[in-house]
Amino acid sequence: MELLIFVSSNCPHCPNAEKVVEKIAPEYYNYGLSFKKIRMKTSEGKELASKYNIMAVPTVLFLDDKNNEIQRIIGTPSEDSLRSKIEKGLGLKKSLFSRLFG
Amino acid sequence: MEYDLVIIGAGPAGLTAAIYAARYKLNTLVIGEQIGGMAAEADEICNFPSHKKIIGIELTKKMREQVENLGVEIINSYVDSIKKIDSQFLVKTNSTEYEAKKIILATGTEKRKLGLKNEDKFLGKGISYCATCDAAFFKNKVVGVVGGSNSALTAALLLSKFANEIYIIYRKNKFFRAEPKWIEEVEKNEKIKSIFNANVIELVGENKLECVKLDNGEKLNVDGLFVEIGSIPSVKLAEELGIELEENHIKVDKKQRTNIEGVFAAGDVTNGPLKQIIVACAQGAIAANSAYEELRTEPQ
Repeated sequence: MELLIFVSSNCPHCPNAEKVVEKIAPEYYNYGLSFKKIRMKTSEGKELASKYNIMAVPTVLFLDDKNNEIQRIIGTPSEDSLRSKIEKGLGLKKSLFSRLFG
Repeated sequence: MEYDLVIIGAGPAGLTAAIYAARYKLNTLVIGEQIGGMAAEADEICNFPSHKKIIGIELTKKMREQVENLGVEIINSYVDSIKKIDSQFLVKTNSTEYEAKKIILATGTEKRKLGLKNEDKFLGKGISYCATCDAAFFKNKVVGVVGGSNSALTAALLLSKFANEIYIIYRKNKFFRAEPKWIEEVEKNEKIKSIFNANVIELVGENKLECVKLDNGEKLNVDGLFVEIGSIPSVKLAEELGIELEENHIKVDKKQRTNIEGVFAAGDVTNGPLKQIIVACAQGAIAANSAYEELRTEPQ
């Protein structure tokens, strides 16, 4: 799974969002997660924003191995919600049954 | 960790308080969710002395750099709670606790939402609360701006650099809260059309916003809608401390003192009459000075 975070230089919320993703994402690199920052002013940024219909920054996009969108977070994610969504996307989240009974 | 002063909020009020506190040699910490606060979202600031025109993110970056150059630490975090224990305060974030002799609350405001069905669904899919952040996504598109204040008019003017058509939707019969200079600019702009005496009552679309319905019967096909209908003071921490409010703003005296000893407040969260960056800065300076005077004269 890959995380893309779309940011722009005139977005006051973007540095906070970047900070959260940069802190949390590396915890899951061993589970097959990768992470890339996409700057909107670049041609890659414009192309990907058009492809995935990005209309706001910051947006964190979760892509599967075939580059299909799994989900997205608009705005600055909290550390807990980002962890939870990554774990769900990677299939690491245990079911209630397995949490209760191991 | 113990500090002389912990400032909650990192907008112009909090950052100016930090500059003054540092020069008073107070051991100071700033904790804020968004460095620069709401001012960082402003597209053009034309009434801050020393700058003919400056964008919000640039002005607040300068403030932040000045604070950091003075050796004050700024922590980018949300404050969960503040508790008064004897004459000290315990400030908790999700990971750390800090002790403080004095507190300045500069918690600012949060954007008000329309409160309509589909508003959350279309967030980032047409609905935006930050024109500075998202205007560029609407190149050659049609957008609406809801509101009639300075922030609504400046959002429309910024959008006119990208979008083909902009509708300002305002519930009153004319603009009277905004600065005359912004009203003049909006009226001169051929891309902007103002619709008065109207409220948005429905947000329509499948996977993204496509149309808004107004209570005057009009339907507007839009690609985006920027919500600029004012803001709500962030008074949760103040309420938990038992601080007296006035019309939902923190009530302060001339020295920016609240009714709770040792707690000061500054900026848009207070009951001051003019919500402007320069006023927030001035209030931050007064609050820091008041905290310093109390610390200087209290028995150690």
